[in-house]
Amino acid sequence: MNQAPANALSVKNLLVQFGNFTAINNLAFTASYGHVHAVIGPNGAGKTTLLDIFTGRSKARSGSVLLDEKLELTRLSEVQLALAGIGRKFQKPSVFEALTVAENLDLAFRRADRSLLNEVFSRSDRARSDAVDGILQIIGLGTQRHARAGILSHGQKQWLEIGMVLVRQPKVVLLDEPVAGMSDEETEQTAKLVRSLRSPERAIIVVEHDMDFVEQIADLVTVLDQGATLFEGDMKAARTDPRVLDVYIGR
Amino acid sequence: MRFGLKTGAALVAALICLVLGPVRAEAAPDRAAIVNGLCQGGPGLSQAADQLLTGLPGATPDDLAWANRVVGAFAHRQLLCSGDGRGYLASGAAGLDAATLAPVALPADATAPFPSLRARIVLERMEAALALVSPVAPSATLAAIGTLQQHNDSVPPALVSMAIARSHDAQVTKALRRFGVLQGLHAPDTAQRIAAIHDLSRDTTSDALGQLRSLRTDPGYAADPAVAAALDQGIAHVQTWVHVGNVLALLYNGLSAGSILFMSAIGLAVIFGLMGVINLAQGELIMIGAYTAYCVQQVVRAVAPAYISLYPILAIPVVFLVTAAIGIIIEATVIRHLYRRPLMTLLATWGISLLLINLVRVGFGPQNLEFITPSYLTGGVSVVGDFFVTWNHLAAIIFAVLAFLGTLALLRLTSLGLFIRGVTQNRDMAGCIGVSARRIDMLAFGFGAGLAGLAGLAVAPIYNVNPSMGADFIIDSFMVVVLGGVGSLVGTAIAAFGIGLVNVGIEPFYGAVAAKVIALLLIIAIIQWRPEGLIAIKGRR
Amino acid sequence: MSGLLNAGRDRAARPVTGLLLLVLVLAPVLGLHAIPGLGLSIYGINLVGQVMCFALLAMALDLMWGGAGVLSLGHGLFFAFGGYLAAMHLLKTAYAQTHVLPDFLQFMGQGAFPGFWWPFGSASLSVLAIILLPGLLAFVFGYVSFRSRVNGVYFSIITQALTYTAMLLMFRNETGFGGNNGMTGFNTIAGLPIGGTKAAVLLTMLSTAAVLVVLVGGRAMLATRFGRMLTAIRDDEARLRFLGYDTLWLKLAAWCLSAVIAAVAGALYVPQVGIINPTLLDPSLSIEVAVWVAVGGRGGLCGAVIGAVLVNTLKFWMSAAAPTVWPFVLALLVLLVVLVLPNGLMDLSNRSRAWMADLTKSDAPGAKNARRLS
Repeated sequence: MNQAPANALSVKNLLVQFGNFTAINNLAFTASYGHVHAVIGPNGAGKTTLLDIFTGRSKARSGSVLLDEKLELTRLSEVQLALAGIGRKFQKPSVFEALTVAENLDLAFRRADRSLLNEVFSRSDRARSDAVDGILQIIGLGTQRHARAGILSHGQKQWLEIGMVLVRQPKVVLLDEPVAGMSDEETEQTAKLVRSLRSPERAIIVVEHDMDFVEQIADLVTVLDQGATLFEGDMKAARTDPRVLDVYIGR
Repeated sequence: MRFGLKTGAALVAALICLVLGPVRAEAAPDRAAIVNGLCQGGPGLSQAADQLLTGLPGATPDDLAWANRVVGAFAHRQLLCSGDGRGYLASGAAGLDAATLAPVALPADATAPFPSLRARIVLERMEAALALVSPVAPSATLAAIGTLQQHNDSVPPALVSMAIARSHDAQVTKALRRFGVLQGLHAPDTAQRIAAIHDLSRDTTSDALGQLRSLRTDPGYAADPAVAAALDQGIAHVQTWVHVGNVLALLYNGLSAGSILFMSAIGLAVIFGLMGVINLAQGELIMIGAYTAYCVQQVVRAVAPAYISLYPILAIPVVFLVTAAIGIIIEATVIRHLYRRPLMTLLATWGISLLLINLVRVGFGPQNLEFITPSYLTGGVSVVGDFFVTWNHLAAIIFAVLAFLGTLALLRLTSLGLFIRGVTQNRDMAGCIGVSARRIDMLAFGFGAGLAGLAGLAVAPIYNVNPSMGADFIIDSFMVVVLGGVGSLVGTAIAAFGIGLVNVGIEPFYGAVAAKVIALLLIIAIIQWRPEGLIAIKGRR
Repeated sequence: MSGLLNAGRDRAARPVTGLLLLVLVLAPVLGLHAIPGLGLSIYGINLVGQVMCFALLAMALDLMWGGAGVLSLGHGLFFAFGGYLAAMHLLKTAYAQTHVLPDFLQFMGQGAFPGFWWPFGSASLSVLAIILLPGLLAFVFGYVSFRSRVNGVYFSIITQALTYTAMLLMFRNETGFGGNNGMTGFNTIAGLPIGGTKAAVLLTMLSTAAVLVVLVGGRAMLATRFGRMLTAIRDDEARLRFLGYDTLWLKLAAWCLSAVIAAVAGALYVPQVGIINPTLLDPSLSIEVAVWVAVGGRGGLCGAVIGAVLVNTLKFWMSAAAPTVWPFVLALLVLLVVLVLPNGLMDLSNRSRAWMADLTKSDAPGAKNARRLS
């Protein structure tokens, strides 16, 4: 950690509006490789909107989002963004319930260097099955490999979805409330999982309400309020910052 | 331009008065000469008619009564003529002198002349001229004008003026004016012709435009520069207003077609747009609304036939309540189980529509129902050019506007509306704050069904009402709601008006089917551009 | 639960395939009276063939609905499209033999077939047209709709509107395909006189074979990675897109395939009934197809075949025996399936199994044995 880690995502002057409502207001934000970056803030602060911009679900009015300081992301489609190396776990667990756990991961292993047609006709190869096996180990669902995703518990679905995001080695991993609705034990395990994901090839951005969880995993915390950065630093400092306290307690 | 026309007309009118003045002052018809002419027959008959017509403007009521009597007698072969050309009216054993109505003895050789075919035409003309100025029913006067126009007869302008002065019926007056103008167009006098052209251009219809244009081809008119100028000016004037009228008529027809579309879509806008329920039985609710209106009509006819014309108003609450009740039954028995399975709702409501169609078919038979159109919904008023506001379409527009405002008010201003919006936007959350989602769903569905029923009432006088009529509405309604933007009542209204306008605009050129096809393609194109409809509910998805 | 359902579906696959093979073998034997005393009338053979066409149409719909969760309420459009194209070929063939123009062309004051009919003189070009043109229509419509993310019920409604519009268009005489009366007066197909036993047997065999091919091939396709992608679209299309799959092309591929199958079904259907008219474009026919699939059970193509065969057999029988009652039966059947058996008859078999288990469980001693038996 002698030299500053490279920026994976850098956001400048980002403006997002829905009608008259400004969701993100002139935001500057960076996420670095090797870090777990937590984004917190009260409801309506623009956290999920920010993830929507990264994944192409919403469109920015103006501003720029650069990947590796060179690829402009605001004009890409959802599919292009996914192929560029952005992976996202949604707030509501979204897995393919009719497919088995292994099939879910198998589909998620989408190689960016293949055309869709090649992907459709691709046979299962070593790289894919190895990747799937590896992820099954990581998310701890090895024994459920042939179970249908629909019968998994809520927590297991969350892990499966994290696995689906990870299986194709994205540069940026976005986790939207990964522990929402989880038991304490599951939360503990998820924290362990997220910490283990930290790697110099990836930047991880977590949006979460559970402050204890955030404190366990985050290297850096950004507090958003009304679409703008209110605070940036580590979680301990955030807990004592008067502005942050005001936003959380003042309302 | 209008000012010029007016002053011109006034000037010419003054001139006419000057010319015609002496004729007016002239004495009553020459009774003896007329009777003589009638008895002579042939050319004498025509002369008699001319004398009668020129004499009529100066006639006293007494003269009129005489003329009616003599002409009537002639028509019924009760005018007896003697060899010397005098006429008598049979009155019992004795007779009356036809000219003086003095009792005289009938000469032995008095016989009733047999009116030839040509004589009958002249007779018709006289009768018609008499009808113009005699106190008869308006319909008889109109018929008389028709007769005179048909024979292209020349009638003294003073006679028309007199008829206009005596007329108490607006329609008759209008017809007389028009008749007078047409007479004037072919008058030998230039000033009279120009006046007639001006008069005619005041009537800004395409009918008048056609007549004015046909004058252009007449070489006699081209020869006179004054007439030609008046004619060109008149044509330009009428043309402008005919265009204005056409545009207004297009808008009006688009509005009335749109209001029908809107009425059929508004229930769906609530059920589909707000609740997200795909009700394929919506068309059948419209059908049931129309059948309920029919039942109300039959009941009123049986119970209080004198008030039959009020049945549409009486039907409004009945139709709404009946269809709303049916809607609530459908919601409570079927839809409530399917809120999370929209595609299944589609099939289920189709099943319901099949059921409703066949129940009504068994109950009422497959034939079209006959509706009575109350007198206040027939006819209309001419506004400008060929733009004619028909009462039944106006009623449909007003009905749609009221339904729109009522629904909007209910949704925006009442607590029920607040609950409906709350439940439809976030079912679980509304449940949390103590709103009974079950009851609100039921009421909202019932409300949407009731609106569909009202649409049935609105279309009953215009469309064929039969058990399978719903199919004509359902797809159009869905298109309107999708195009307008799901969940937006204002969008539904705009879309309905837009599609109505497109249909009305295209139909005369390419037919109704092409209009439908083009409207559908337009909708698909617009959805490309605005996937969430014209008025999208803005916000984060 | 879903595993159980799929098991049910898979259980049905073998018997259905076996029955279809049996029909394929028996059609010529019974239809041509190869065994004395055991024979089926032309009417019966024809009926089997027609029902097979409906089964094909139902599978086409199920491929999209059960496969990718996209419900088309306009498959009648492709069915009729295929039918009209087949009819054009049959009319051209008839003209080549009789040199009498079809009535509707004479009525329209035409002295000859319009120019664009030329490919339909050739059987192979006609087959090509039956595959390509509906496929092209499906491609254009599908591209436009899927690109603007017209989904779920919106898609269903737009397909319905399209079919409805096509019906209005074809009802017009000016459109040039016989208007209200449609096209009829076919003469021969593949050299066999239409309406004869041989043609009926041939068409029934062709239709049954097509059902078999689509059933086996379609199931195989659903089991590939492509099939899993379709399942993923059905479960959560947005998720698949965020994984880097452009679902537009996946859906479009399935949609075009589905449309072509429907068109082939229509092309096989028309020579069997001897006429085509715009009633095939009636929106309610397209909805009925969805009802067949819902009755049989979605997703495995077997249910589509079972549903189409059952409902249509019932329809043929009831329309003759009690025509006014049939709509009520159909309506109640729909409501029953939607409310009680969301997965169609597949549910029935699973539920009855569950009920049996419950019943046997209640009388305690024999429970275990009974369960093993079932």
